[in-house]
Amino acid sequence: MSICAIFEIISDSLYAIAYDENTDEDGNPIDCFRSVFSKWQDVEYLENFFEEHKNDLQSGFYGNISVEQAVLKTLNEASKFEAKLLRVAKSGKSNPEDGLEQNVFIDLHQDVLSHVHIESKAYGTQNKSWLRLYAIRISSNVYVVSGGAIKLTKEMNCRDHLCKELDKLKATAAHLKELELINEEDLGYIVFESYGEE
Amino acid sequence: MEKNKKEILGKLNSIAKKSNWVEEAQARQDNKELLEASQLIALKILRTLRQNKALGVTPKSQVELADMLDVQPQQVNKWVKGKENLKLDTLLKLQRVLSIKLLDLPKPSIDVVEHSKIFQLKIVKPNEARDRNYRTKQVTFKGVQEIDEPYYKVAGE
Repeated sequence: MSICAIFEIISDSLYAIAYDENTDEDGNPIDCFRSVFSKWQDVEYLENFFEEHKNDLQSGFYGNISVEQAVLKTLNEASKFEAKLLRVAKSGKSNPEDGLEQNVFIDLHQDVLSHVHIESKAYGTQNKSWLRLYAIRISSNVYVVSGGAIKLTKEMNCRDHLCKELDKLKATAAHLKELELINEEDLGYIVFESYGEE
Repeated sequence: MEKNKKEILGKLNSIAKKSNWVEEAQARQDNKELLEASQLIALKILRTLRQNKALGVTPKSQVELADMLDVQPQQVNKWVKGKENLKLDTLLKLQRVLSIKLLDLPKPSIDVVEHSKIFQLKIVKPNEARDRNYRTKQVTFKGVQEIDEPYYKVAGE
């Protein structure tokens, strides 16, 4: 997996990485932001995911819910989350109050890249969403999304799909550094987790 | 970091391509109701296939289902993603093959209303009505054309 492009999602505000493994039928790269929301609305993907992670799903971290309920909860939250981002995309520029910082990327986790154990503020609250977008802030209200995941566990390093997201975050940070969009001292405080709708 | 924002955005915008996310997201929001129905159907199909697999009942995979419905497996795969607008005949076939209910519309009870008189209405010329001994009802065409004598009459038989 390597980075092949950067896409603009919301002008002057939200950008996303494209990886070489994710392309359309014509071989054109698809940015991770678009593919994350597409996956969160893909019933086949979600049904397989929750079957595979049934133990995490029913461990009590988010309550004990069935695969069917989990799929429907995800579809519902993803739709609301996307609607919220769409609103920001349409009004964010004209009204700074509606920007990403105020509405979407609200939880800052310091030193994520150097500390693998991330404390998520979502745990223990059954009503909280398990949808996550991972991004690096390169300036105020300017983010580069490295990926997204369904996070059913408290920590990020205990499941393969979450470890992959950490690797993507690191690769994105390295890429942005290479492009001189960020520097070494930025890395301590520029990683964000965005929660889906509650 | 803030003072470099313009410079950062300049550099970023010079290399960034435009994503299709906004268009796709807007389409999903515009077709929300249809999408939700399609997703519920997809989930029902997938859970039934999984259950069938556990019980050893046919169809237990998308390929077997496609075979039974005489469609390409790729078509079934589109259905189970929950993004397709399924036709009514497809839904009925799926119901039959999977032995599940996808269309659960309550059938309304049919109340038989006794009509004292049912007329078959015909529009005829006045002389024809006279000749055939129709019971006639005169209808004027107000709002359509002002006439003194209606040319056509409505006859009840």
